[in-house]
Amino acid sequence: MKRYEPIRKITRAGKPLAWGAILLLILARPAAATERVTIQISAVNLQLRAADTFLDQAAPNTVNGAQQTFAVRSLTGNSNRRAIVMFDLSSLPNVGIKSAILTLHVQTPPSATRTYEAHNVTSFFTETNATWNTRAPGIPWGAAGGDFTAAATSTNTVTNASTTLTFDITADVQTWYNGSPNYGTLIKDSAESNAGGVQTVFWSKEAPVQTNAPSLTVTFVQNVASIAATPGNATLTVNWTYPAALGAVVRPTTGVLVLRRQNFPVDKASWPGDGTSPAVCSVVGTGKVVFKTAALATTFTDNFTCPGDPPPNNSTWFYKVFIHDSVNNYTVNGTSAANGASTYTMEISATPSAAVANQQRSLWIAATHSTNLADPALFPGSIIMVGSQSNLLIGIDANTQLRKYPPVSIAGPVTGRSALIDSAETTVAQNVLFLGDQQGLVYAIATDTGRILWVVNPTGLATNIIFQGGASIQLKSLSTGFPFADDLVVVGTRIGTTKTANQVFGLDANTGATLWALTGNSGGAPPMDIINSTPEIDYMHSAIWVTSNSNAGTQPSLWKINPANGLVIATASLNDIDGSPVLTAASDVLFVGNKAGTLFAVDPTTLATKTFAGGDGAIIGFPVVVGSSSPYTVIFSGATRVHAVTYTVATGTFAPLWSTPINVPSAPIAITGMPNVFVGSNDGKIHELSLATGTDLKQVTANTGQPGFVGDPSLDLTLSRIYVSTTDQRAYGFAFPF
Amino acid sequence: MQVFPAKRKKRIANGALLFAAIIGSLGISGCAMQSSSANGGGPPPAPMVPAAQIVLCDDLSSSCTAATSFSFSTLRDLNIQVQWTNVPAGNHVQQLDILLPNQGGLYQTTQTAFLISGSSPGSITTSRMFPVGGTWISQRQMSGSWSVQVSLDGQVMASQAVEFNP
Repeated sequence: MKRYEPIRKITRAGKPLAWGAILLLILARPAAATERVTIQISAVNLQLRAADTFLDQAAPNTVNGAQQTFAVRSLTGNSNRRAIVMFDLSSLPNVGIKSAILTLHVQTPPSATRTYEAHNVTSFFTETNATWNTRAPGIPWGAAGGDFTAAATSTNTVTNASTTLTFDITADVQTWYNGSPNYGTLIKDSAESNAGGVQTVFWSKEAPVQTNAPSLTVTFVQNVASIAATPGNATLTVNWTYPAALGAVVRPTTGVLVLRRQNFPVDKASWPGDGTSPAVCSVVGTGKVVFKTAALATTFTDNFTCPGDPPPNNSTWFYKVFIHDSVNNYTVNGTSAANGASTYTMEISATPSAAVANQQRSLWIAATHSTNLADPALFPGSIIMVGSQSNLLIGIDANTQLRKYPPVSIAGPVTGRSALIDSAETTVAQNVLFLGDQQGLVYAIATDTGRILWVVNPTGLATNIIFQGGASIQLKSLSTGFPFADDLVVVGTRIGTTKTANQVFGLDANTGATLWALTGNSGGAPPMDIINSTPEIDYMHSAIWVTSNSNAGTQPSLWKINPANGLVIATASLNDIDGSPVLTAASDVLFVGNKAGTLFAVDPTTLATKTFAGGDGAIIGFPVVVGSSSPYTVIFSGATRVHAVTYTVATGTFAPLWSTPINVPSAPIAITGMPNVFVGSNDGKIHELSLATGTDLKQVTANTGQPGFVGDPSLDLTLSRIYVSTTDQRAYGFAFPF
Repeated sequence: MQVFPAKRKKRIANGALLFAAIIGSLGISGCAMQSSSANGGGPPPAPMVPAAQIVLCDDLSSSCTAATSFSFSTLRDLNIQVQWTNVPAGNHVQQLDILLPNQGGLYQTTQTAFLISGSSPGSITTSRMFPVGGTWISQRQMSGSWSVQVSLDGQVMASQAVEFNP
């Protein structure tokens, strides 16, 4: 009833102006709803992340991705053909999928009626490498002919009169919006190896008439936008906006439903079922319905009045906000409890308190689906990129706090922080992220679009090759005597099966081509154990610094490498090192910490070392250096404390500054000129310490798991924000100082 | 006639299914079927049910001796082998989920596709090196009882606890 009151009041006024106001209200009303779009390559939708091809059993090593058509064939004598179609869903970054219909346009129909199956593809492939045998550079399919789900998602028949063929792939598309990678859809004949042979030819996205290209008609409900939580004293207000429509409106948006949970995020497997209307104060999964409206409200103040609500102050409350349409379809993706139908539904958190100083809130929360504790990569004021160990890369718009696009699907888990380079500085001419994964592949990804620019397999290995650390990039524009046409990407391997023959690669940043490779125990190089760290580029000394393990102290673990040719300039044996090396701003000292807890100050020219052994256990991640000239302040984390020391170059001496107890700290982050140090902990918090004294000034809660590990923080100085990932499969943004 | 509460009925049904699965996995379902079908009656043959055994070992040990407790200060990579039996012919997808201690959620997930050739169920062993040394597990001392869970074609088939200690 309440929803009609405003209109009734205007109607009673009976003035023409009132009708105009109604019209304006309708026109100005946020248009998001249950909507429908058809995704197909066109002049305005370039489908940069799309791919289609066919795998030909008779020509098992032939790449067919560039052809204008693809075929599905059943023919005996190992001559079957299977097609793969993958769409770029970037235009739908924040949605709950209700329906997805794949349409293929027939170029040449079959001679007889056939039944075709659509299967979800389960392994990464590239259009430029996929064959019957191979899916990516140097990597075969798990089973020749493609890796796909055993059960068909959908089947349909094609006849000699067919002009199109459709498949309902709703269930697969929903999993792509629930944290599973999107590797596309494989189409195959349900009865392969036909004696006479029968084939259907379909138009590909390279078709001369683009309206003949494969299309995907998607029905969806968008997420809310601009979600924010504001804490008060025993009260908490959540605000949001409704996004503009992306497609044709099927049903109007009529409101939101809000779930709330104390101390933990609302579980991804908790959601209101489509068509249902749970009552306020009822329990839905791990959440409680605290607000439901059939009007287009944009704010809700939670006074914690449901029966059984505990005192709200000083607890962190998590909210998940679902848009619903006129028949109560929500921003959820299907009904899979295993995958979690509300994985990517928008959520936010805040902590009310009687003391204003203790009130806190997150600025955004983004699901990562699995755990990643590396510091998020970022381009300040623009984008945050978070890797995941479920083969995804999540791009967050730093300003709107929304996903820029559906996660980028790559081949393997991502664990290292990767270089993200501004278009003004790199020769690739886009904002590009470089990373390696646990499949042994290295990527360049345009963060503006999520498009994979190139992917290479530098080792050529298909198994047991991991890039555990991140990639570094040497910018041509900042280098002197640089011999290459483009920037240089540097990555080091973790090949667990060898303690002596790990490798460091120099790759062309524009193409991924290997410019040089340094292999341990080869070409005069000393033996090289596994590398878990990210290389450091030294422009001053024209060198690349790499750390490694040491094969129980018998091999070098610090490597100075010539960026022009990959030859070893010098090494040092500092025992096992898992963390990354860090140069001072003046490049006059290299700091590195090892697993034994020793902090080294290394002269970059002579490799002479000074040591500080006052830490507590293995040095976590990397040390942080503050100061533009000596004496430097070096901050590093041990097992239970964060330490700060000063280092004076002239005397080569360390001096302890402070040591603050923090539960299992992450690597710290601090910036020259800032008064504070930030560090994650396993108490679920980010701690803000005084750089001068180490005093634990204030904390914000990011992860209240037991224990809740908070990863290495990143700082966005443009927006004064701090970003972390956590073991609760989420990334968080907060404002700083706290 | 004894009447069981609904919950107990369900438990019995589940127990029967589990028994069938065990019999199937042991590969002796054929004998039972023959003996019971001698007079032309009896229950239908128990279907061959896929089964998985998860074997964990330190890859550096030459014999890959199975263990369920490891020190992350010495372990570099955990070798996770999944031994599949009675898998129907055709394409399959194995999903390996590494779960944090204390029901802490998903740490890592990977998928492996494989093909059982021919027309009858077969066996296969998959292997994955899971990095531990030098990762967040060792650096952040993420000790406790982790869980390795394996699914086949979307169905959870086996789970194995693994202890990581300093």
